[in-house]
Amino acid sequence: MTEPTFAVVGHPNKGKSSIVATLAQDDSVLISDRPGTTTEVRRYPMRVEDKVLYTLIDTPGFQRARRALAWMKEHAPSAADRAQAVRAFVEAHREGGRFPDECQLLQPIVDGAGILYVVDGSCPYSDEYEAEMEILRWAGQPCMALINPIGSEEHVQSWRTALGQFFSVVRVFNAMTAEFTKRIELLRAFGQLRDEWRSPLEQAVEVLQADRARRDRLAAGEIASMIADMMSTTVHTQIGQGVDAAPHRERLKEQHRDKLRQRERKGREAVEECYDHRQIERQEQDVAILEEDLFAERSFVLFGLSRTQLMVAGATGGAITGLVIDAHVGGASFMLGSLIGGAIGGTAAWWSADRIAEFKIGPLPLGGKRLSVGPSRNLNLAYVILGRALHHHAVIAARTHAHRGALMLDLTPGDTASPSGNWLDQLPAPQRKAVQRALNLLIKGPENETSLALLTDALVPILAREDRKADGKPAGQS
Amino acid sequence: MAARGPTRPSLAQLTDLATQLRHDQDVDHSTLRQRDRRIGRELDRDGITQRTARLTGWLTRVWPTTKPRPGDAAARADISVRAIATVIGLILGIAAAAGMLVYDGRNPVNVFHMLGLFVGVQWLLLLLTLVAFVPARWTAHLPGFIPVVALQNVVTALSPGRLQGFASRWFTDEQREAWAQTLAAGRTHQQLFGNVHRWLVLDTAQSIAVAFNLGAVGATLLTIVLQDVAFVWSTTLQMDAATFHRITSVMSTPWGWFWPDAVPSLALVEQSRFFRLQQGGFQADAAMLGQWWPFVIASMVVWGLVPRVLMLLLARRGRHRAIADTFLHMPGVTQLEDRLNAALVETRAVEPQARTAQPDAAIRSASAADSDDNAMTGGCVVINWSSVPIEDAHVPAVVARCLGARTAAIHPAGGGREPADDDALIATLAADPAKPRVVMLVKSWEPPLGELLDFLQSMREALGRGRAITVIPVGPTVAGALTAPDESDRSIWSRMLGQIADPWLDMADWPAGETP
Repeated sequence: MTEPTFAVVGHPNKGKSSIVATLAQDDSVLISDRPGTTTEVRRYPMRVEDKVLYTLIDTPGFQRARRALAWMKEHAPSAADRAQAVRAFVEAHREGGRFPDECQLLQPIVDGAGILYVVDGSCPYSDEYEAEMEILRWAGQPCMALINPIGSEEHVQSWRTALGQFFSVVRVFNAMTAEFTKRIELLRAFGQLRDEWRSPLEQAVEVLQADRARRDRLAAGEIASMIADMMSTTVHTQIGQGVDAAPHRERLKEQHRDKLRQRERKGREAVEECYDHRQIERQEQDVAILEEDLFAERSFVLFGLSRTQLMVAGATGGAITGLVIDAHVGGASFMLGSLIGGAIGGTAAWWSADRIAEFKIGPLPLGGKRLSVGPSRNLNLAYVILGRALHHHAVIAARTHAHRGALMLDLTPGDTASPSGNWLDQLPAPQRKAVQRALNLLIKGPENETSLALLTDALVPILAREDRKADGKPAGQS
Repeated sequence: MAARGPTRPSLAQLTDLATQLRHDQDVDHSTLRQRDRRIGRELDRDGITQRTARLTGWLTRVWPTTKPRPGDAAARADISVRAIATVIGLILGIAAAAGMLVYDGRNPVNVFHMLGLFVGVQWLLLLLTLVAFVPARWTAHLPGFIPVVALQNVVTALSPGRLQGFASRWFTDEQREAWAQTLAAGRTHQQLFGNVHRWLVLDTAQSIAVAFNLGAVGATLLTIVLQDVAFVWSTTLQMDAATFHRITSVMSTPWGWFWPDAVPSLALVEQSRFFRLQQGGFQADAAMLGQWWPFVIASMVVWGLVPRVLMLLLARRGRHRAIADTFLHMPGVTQLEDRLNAALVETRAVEPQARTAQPDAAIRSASAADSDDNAMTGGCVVINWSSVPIEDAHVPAVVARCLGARTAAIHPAGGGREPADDDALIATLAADPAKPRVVMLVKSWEPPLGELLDFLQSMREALGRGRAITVIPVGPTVAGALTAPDESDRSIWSRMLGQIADPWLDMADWPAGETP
C-alpha cells in the first residue's frame, strides 16, 4: 500500500457509508437505515489522471467485536504481540465464516490503512463500543475518530470525552451537512496522522480545490447559457391572411412559457451534473418556491426587482454604455453620454417591467401572417431567472452526496430578503454591478459571445461565495 | 500519430461537431469525461494546443472511421449549391447581355441601358449587400430606430442565395439530410448559427453575382466579336454631350491610364447621341458608334465584375469567420473543452456496489394476551442486554406493562461484559427447572448486531424448543424516563429478528402512550 489509505470503520448504521459518499462525492453509495447494507469493503480511490493520491475504504460494521477481541487476547501474550494478534485473527478466520465482517474491515487495516472510526453523536455512549475501539487500538495504525451527529448533537460532548481515551484526534463531521470547506479541512486532518501522508493529501486538497473552481465556472456557464437561451427563445406560427390572430395569441404565449420552463429544468439538471449530483429526486408533493411556476407572481415577488430597482439596474447598464461613449470622445461630451445612456436604459427597464415577451404579427412574402412571441426584452424576467438559478445552485452546492432525500428548494420570503428586500442587494457592490452590466448587455444580444462571457465571469465569484459562507474562508484557499 | 487538424474549420467539420455534440447529450457524463480526457491527453502528447485544432482533432478521434460523416455530405451539398448557383448566374448574365445587345441594324444599343443594368443596378444591389455584411457585434450597439437588422433580414430573405432551398431538390438524400441538419441548428440557435446561414446565403449570392457578371461580359465580348454592334446613348434627362462626356471620363479613371481607347472621346459622345424621334434622320458613322465597346466592356468589368469579385472574397472570408466563430462558440463546446483540458479528478468507486437482498420477514409481535402460565405464575427472567439505561427497580413495571408478566430475576448480558459471562448465563437459564419465559430488554436506537443474534441462537439451542423468548426494544431516555422506540428503529429490530425464523421468539411493543 503506497498511497495514503483510510478504512472507515465502526458500528453498523452510524454513517460510515454516508461519510464515504460525502468525501468521495459519490451518490451511488448504497445508504440505508437498515444496518448491514454494506457487506463488503469498497474502495474509493482519489485519482488525478492515472495517479492515486489517496484511497477511502468503506467497510461493513463490527458485528462480533467482543468475541473477536477475546480471541485476540488469547493469542497476544503481551502488548508487543497485539498488532500481530490482529493480523493472526484475520488470517485464521478469513475462510472460516465465523467473523466475516471483522475480517473484511480489519484486512485493509492489517495492510497498513489508517483508521477512521465513526460514531453517531446523537446516540449516547455506552460500554458496548469499547471492544471494537480496543481492537482498533491493538491494530497499531494511525487513527482518528469522527463523531457524525445523525439528527442531533445531544451526546457529542460525552463522545468526545470517551473517544479521547482511545484516539489522539477526535473531530465532529456531519456527513449530511458538511460543505466543501469542511471536507477539505477533514482531508488535511487525515494528512496529519502520518508524516508521509501530509504531502500527498495536501496535493489532493489543491487538486480538489482547483476542481471545485472548475465546477463553479462550468456551472456559471450553464446558468449564463440558460438565461441567454431563455431570453432569446422565440415561438411562431403561420396563419392565413384573413384569419384573426387574437385566438392564437394566448396559445402562442403559453407555448413560449412552456419552452422557458423546459429550458429552466434542463439548466438545473446541467448545474446538478456539474457537481456530480445525478440521482436527485425532485420534491413533488409540496409546491416549493422553485418548483413553483417560473411565471407565478410569487416568483417575481421573491426574485424580481421592483420598478425602481429595475430603473436603477437598467440605468446602470445604460450609464456604463454612456461612459464608454464619453471615453471614446475623450470626455468632450461632458459626460452627457452617460447621462443620456442612463436615462434611456432606465426608461426601457421601466416600460418592460410587466411584459414577458412581445406578441408580434408580421407579413409573409407569399401571403398570410407570421405570429411570433419572443425573444424577451423583459429585464425583470432575466433577474427572476437568475435569482432562481442562484438559489438552486446554493442548495446544490451545499448538498452532500450522502443526502438521499428529495431536493428541498422551499423558501420563505425572509430567506432571500435583505433589509432592502432583494437577493441582488445582498451581493457585494462590485459583483452586483458586474451582474447588472452583463444582464443589460445580454438583453440586447442574448447569444452574443461577449455578453455570455461577461455574465459567466460575473457569476463565477458569486457561485464561489457559497463555499465561503460556512466559515469565512475563501473557496480555494486554506 | 494522428494528423494535426486545420486551424480553420470547414463547414463539414462544423456539421460534424454539431452532430457529435447532439449525440453526446444522450451519453452518460462520466463516460464522456473519461473518453474526452483521454483524447485531450493524446492531443497534448501530439503537441496540438490551438483551440480549433484540438476540437477538429477530437472529432477525428471520436467519429468512427466506418461511419459516414454528415459533414462530408454537407460539404458536397454546399459545393452542389454553389455550382448550381454559378450555372444559374451564368445563364442569367448571358441572357441579360444577349437581350441588351439585340441589334437588327435599326435600333442601336443604348449605352445608358448597358450601364444602367450592368453598373447601376449592380451597385444598388451591392450597397444592399454591404448592409447585410454589417457584423452583429456592431448592430447590437446601434440605436433601435436604425433598422439595420431589419434591413439585413430583408436582404437575406430576398437574396438569390436563398436558391439553396430550390437547389436542394437536386441533392441526394444523404446531402439533403446533412444540409437539413446544418440548417436545423440555425433554427434552434438562431443568432449563433443564423450568422453562418447568413454568410452561406451571401456567399452563394456573390457567386451568382460574379457568374452573372462573367456571363454578361463574356456574352457581350462574344457578340462584339461575332457581330457589328452600334452603340448610342439616349436619355430623356436634360443632359448635354459635354456632361455625359464628363461622366464617362470619371468612370474611365481606373483604366484610362493604360487603356486610353476605352475612354470615350468628346466627339464620340457628341456624335452618338440618339433620339428615337429622329430615327430615320440619325446620321452617324457605324464604325465610330462601335467605338463605345471598350468603354462598355471596361465598365462591366471594373464597375460590375470586380466589385462582385471583391464581395465574393469578403463573403468567403465572412463565411470562414462565421464558421470558425460558431465552431468555437457552439453550445456544448465550452463543456467539451473542459472535458478535454481539465485534469480528470475522480473520487468515486470504480466497481459498482452489489446490493444484498434483505428479507422483509417481520418478527411475531407478543402481547399481554400471549403470556403463558409460566410467565403468569413463576415470573419471567429478564436480560438487560448491553446496559439499557434502566434501574433494576423499574424493570418489573416495564415487563408488566409490555407483557402483563411478573419479573422473577434480572441479569445483565452483552455490552462491556466478557463473552464467557454470556455463555454462563445461557447455561444457567437452560438449567432452570422452572423454564421461565426469557425477556430481553434492548436499546432500540442501536441496531441488532451479529453477536446479539448469535446469543439468541445459542440460547435457543440451550433452552430447547417451545421456550418463549421475548425481545422488548426500548426508546431513549428523556427526562429520566424510558420512551417508546422510534417506529423506524422498531421496524429494523422486527426485520432483523425475523431473519432468525425462530417460531418461539417474539417482540413486544411498547404500550401506546405509556412510560414506566
